[in-house]
Amino acid sequence: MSRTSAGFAERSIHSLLDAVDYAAQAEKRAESAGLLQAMDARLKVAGVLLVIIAVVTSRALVPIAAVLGGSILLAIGSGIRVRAIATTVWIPALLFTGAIALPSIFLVQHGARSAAFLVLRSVTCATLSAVLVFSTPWPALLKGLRALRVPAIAVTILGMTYRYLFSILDVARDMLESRRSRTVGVLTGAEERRMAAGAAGVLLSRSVLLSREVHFAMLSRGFRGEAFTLENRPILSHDWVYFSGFSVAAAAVLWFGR
Amino acid sequence: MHIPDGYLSPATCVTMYGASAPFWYAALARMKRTLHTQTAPLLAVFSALSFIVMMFNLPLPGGTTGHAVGVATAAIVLGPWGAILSISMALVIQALLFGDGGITAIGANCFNMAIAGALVAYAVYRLISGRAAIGAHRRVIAAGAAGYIAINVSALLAAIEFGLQPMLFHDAIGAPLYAPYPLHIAIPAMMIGHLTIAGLAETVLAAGVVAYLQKADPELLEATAPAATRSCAAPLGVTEPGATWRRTRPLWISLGVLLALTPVGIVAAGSAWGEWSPADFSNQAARRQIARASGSVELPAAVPHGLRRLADVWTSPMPRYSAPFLRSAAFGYLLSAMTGAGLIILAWVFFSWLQRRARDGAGGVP
Amino acid sequence: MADTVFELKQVRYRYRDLVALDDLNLRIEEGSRTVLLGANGSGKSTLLRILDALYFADAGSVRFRGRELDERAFESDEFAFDFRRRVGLVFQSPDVQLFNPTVFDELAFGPLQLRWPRDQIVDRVESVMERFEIAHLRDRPPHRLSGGEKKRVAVASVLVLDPEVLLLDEPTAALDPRSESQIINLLASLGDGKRTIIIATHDLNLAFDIADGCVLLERGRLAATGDPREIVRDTELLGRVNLIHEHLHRHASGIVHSHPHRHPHEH
Repeated sequence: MSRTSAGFAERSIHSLLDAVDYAAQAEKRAESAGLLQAMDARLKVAGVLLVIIAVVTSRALVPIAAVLGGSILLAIGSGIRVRAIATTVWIPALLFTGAIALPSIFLVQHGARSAAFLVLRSVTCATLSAVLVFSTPWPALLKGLRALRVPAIAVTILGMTYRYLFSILDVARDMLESRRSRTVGVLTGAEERRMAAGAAGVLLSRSVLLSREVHFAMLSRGFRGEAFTLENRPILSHDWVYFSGFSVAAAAVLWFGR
Repeated sequence: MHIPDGYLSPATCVTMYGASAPFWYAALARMKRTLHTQTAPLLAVFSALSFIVMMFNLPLPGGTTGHAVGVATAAIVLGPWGAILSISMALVIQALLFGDGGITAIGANCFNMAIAGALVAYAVYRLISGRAAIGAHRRVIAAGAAGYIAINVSALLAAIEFGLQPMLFHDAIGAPLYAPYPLHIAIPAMMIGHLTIAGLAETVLAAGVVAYLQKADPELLEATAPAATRSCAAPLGVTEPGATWRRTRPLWISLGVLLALTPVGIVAAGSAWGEWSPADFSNQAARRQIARASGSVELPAAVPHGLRRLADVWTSPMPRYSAPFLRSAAFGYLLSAMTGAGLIILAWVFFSWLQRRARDGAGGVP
Repeated sequence: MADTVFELKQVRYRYRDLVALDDLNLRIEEGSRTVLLGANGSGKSTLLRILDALYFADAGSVRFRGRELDERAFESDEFAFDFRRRVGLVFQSPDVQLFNPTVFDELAFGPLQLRWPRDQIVDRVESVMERFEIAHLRDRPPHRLSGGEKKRVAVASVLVLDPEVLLLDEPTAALDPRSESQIINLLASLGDGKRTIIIATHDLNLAFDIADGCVLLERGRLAATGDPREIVRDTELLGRVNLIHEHLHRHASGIVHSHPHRHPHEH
């Protein structure tokens, strides 16, 4: 007998809607004007990555806190509301890492300091990533990975994954909603499990069919197995200025946190 | 179980990226060879699907709910290489675009869940399902077991990665810089949640999906069931009956090697606890390191008499039955079991090869 | 006498246990506008894919401008690129056709695959976007496009290569009336004598309005060929191949009658 009041379908629909919501928010912010939005995606990805690596490497707390402060300023300058960051990044990160770090204060030598490192580092890195994502359209972000030497075919597949995420999200939501509406009363645990597995199974079958059709569509336009990406925005001088800003910040963190 | 940034040191992150990269490249090469132009759309769609299935809040026996990674399902439908790639891509999208899991930790997350998980799931599934027909109940059981074992292996790997952090990475005054809990806390903490909830979620999903596909779309199960009786419809990845062993053998070997080598990385990492030389007693740096690894208990100032006498008599090629610097015997047994399993698999591969040679030599065709 | 673009002789295609096309003989002339008419399951989509060399016939011969379309021919990059540029297929579902992250990427995909130089690609994509009035959608991901916009992008992504043969699978399916009329107008404007257009549909309006040739399919076989206006008027034939149905209906004046329910023009 299922003890949860909301059934599997409803809970999962909720998660799916949250994901769509998050994506929509990110897309909206990425398309508005702002400090980071103006920067080329490739250099932005590389620059942010440098700072994240520096933050993870630092052996001192203060430089990490400085980066956190800097990220917040960048966010404000890019039109990203601090409240949005707080709800989507800080609260989940603090709950998760906070719960994990709390016992260490008692169980581990120098536990309080260690907890501070863990919490501060994970929150700072999560903030940086969120600022990157909220200020960059995802297709540009994925193409930015090419600058990190990620193979073209992988970037192409990731791009298609992102694109079909929304198709399958819609199909999944429709399917779950129709199952939910057809369900009368409360299902037993076993019945719910069967429905969940059936939902996953149906999605799987349909996804495979979809991939076959997409394959034909790709062949029809000349696809022979090789992937190409087209960068339709050149790198401007102010992009390099931004990038050097990130590099200097990363170097400073490495230096002061050595 | 998605590890965020800041839990693993840069050295660990780099190591895990380095461990994952060869599997990624090998998997991609293999997929392109077998599926050609179909690789890209199939992987893209399956990655998207995996991402979505990870959001399902599955009802579990006992009334709780949990999320599954879906690695066993992916391995059973796509085979191990396709699973490695599609789960990895789903994890990358989660980390990059949704902030679920760290960016520096992508290598570790992929290694734990996508790579080790997929290989273990596939191996267990093939082992248990054997030659059973596509619609046989045994396959459902095999799928459930595959999911359960795979996710627990992933959790164990993550726990080991966590547990090593405080031992190896701390600041000047001794505070752990990353994940703060030593192995004897990290492992039980991780495993309890996965042996119960997360493991069950994987089982429910994998077994349920296989049972569903057996009725609704059995063709999708054929790619990983070359020995079973099947219809003449074309599966996802073409399998010629004669090539089944050749195709799976490298897989078994890599799995065996993976398992067998698990303790080596640990041994190679730091000063092996217990394997001290008399010189360590007077060396200040060594004393500090040993003290940290021993729960802040310091070495006595003078070298014990017996140690001094026996120190030079013999040196063991491999640590004793339990990896020596660990304080938990239980973990030592577990680690030995994994190594043992890896060696058993390698031995089985070897004997199967011998057997096949003998059979072919006698003129019999399998 | 116009050139023959496609010539099919005794083509047979099986999909698992189902014979999708059987003993099909067909000739398509250059510059013609042909409608492949048939109910669902008649094989018209399969035929389109045979024409676009996505499926290869089990038996019989399929020739494009004299060249046989078989698997071996497509092993050559040169032949494959040439064919893919000259023949374009607009799929029924835009979700299948639009697989790139943005509209710009989608339009650029074909030229990229054919290894066009970067500047040429950008120029061509820009001009096609202008013509189809989708320039404002350039950075939009497909899941944020309306149904009509998706269709325009789908057609544009095929036309960016300027193919001499345009195949369309149910172009008006699932479109609202306004988008539907837009597409019909677009198709009407495309024919300039040199471009060959083949449309698979069960929409009799389309056959009546645009086509100059009609091929009627029934369960994978050729049921009739000829002037679309005549075929569309042949209610007995259409009823036999399951494209129309008869039912009773009542008018406001109280008259009740039944007749084959078809095409609004004729009522």
